[in-house]
Amino acid sequence: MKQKHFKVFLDGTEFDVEVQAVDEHGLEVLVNGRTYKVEFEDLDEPHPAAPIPTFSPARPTAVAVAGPLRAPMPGDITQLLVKAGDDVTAGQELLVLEAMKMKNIIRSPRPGKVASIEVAAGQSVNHGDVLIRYEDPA
Amino acid sequence: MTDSPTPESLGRELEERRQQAAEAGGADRIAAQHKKGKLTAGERIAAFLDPGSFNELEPYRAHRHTAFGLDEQRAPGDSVITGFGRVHGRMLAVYAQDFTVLGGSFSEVQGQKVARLLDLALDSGVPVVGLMDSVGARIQEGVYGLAAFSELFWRNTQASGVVPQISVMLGPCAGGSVYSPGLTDFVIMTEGSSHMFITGPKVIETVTGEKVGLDELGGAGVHNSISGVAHFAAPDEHSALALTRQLLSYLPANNAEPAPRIPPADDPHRMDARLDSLVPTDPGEPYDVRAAITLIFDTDTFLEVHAQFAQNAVVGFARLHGAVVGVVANQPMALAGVLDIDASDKIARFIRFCDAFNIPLITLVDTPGFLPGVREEHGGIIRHGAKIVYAYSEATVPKLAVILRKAYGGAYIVMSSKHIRTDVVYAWPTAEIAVMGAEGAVQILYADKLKDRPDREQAERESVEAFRREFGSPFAAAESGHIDDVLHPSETRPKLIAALELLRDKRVPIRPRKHGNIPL
Repeated sequence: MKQKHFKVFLDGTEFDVEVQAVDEHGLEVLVNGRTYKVEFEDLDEPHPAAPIPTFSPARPTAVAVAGPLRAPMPGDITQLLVKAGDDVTAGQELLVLEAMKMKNIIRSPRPGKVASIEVAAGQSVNHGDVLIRYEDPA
Repeated sequence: MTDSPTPESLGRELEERRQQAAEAGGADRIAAQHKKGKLTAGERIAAFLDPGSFNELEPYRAHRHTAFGLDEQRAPGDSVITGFGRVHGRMLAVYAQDFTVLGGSFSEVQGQKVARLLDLALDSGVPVVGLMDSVGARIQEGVYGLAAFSELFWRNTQASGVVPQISVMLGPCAGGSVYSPGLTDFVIMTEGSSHMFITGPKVIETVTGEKVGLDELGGAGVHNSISGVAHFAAPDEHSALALTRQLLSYLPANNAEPAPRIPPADDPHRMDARLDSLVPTDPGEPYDVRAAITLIFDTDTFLEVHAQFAQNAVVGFARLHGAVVGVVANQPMALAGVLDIDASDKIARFIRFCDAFNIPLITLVDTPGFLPGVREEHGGIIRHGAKIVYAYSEATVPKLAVILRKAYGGAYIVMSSKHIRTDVVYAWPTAEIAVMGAEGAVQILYADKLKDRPDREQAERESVEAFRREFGSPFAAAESGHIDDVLHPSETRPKLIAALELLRDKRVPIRPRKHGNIPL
């Protein structure tokens, strides 16, 4: 490829692209005055070690998290992962609720200090039963 | 004797008039709007559309009312800006309620301007975007104000399924006027500054004694996570407008246009090995189905809709080899991926949007079934769950499904099975297609036989194993033709791309009828 300077149109926007360096690992391009490094990936050799993408739990909302934490569905408590007095962060795993033959990890909808745990491992709970109370009532 | 007008003086007058219309609310109101961290209607339109593309309509319309001092408060354009312009080069109709003119109140003129805009949009087949910021009906105009937004509701309904309609909530929206966003396809709410409710905190306290704040009654958080009224939340106005532009990039201009496709930017043959180990072989272990979506569809193209509402289901738009598709999936990570009332409503509404606007549907199935319980039954899960069957059965767009793991009983049928005319159904080797889970089935089938056995536990385990061997793999369903093929998970992307290409021009004759009767 001899040509090094291009005008690229993307969705109607013009980009001024100049290839500055290129080798088998990648290239360096100047796009509208800014330099970008482009790395080539060998598609014949996939990277099995690449992690499975993860997502943060959806942002909890002020209202959804007011009051104590209640059971979102009927099931059995199989594991408690925190104890009274623990400081917890939003999204932290609090307990495991087995329901529909599935381990459901119940996470904290908000940061706070655990005041009390209202259930024990092995206990069955119904929808809406209080699982955990926080020290601050917010 | 007055000077006769010259081209220059006429031009000057037009410029002065334009300037007056642009600052209709007056400097104080504009400053107050800015002080609240809010943009004015004109600034919002400018931030939303492609630069310089706006064409305003009826900027000089003014109201004709005199009661309660209204004659002292006439502003060119009244309380709304309407017009058309471009987003990503594509034409659409847009209106922005102007809070600086009488609180953006819904007046006779606002109603007439917006109604005219919708008529124009319907005739032209372009999407309609409303930038909402209004105190509600203009009380001083009496029934004229009510008539105005009723006209809008009627047009919202006429436009439903013909052109996409999006409501962007940038301020209050209360009382009857909430039904306009309620009727549109997507509602985007700005956190902190936007609120929606039929009756406000004061009325609620008088009538029911409940004390509730604005945010906890009808803020972005509530409507995105609890009520499901809103589909997206944005932290501020600029991101709400950017999100609206992004959403529009997935939508056709109208129901006669195919869904947009862009030159593919991702490898159609990509087979990501991470998919092969994504689903845990232990059927009790959860995983995040969004990881599957991310790895199958074009990189970074998934736009989740209703992300905070009924999280046991995941719906959203993505691209597959450049073509827009609607993705529906169960989410094993939330409430075991069960189908419940809210998830049913969420899935059914999304399917119907996609079908109305020619967007193919791709469904990823892994659900243990409908959530048992008195609360669900009394809440009408039959009525709500039926919406999913109805929506899939009614949909004539290309429909593809992949069974990732559990597909049991009624949930198997409703989640885009072949029986409700899904065009191609694939399964992963982890798929279990059965009337119910193995443990439950054994309890029902062998309860009597097992009851008196001294080795009951052992016998039960063996029966569960036997049931699993029979139904715990996709091959029984593959032998009977209930699924089309079993895939290595990593093959899913190229397989779906090929099937979608096959079905691109799918045509299904539709029987004439006034309309169906979806269980609501």
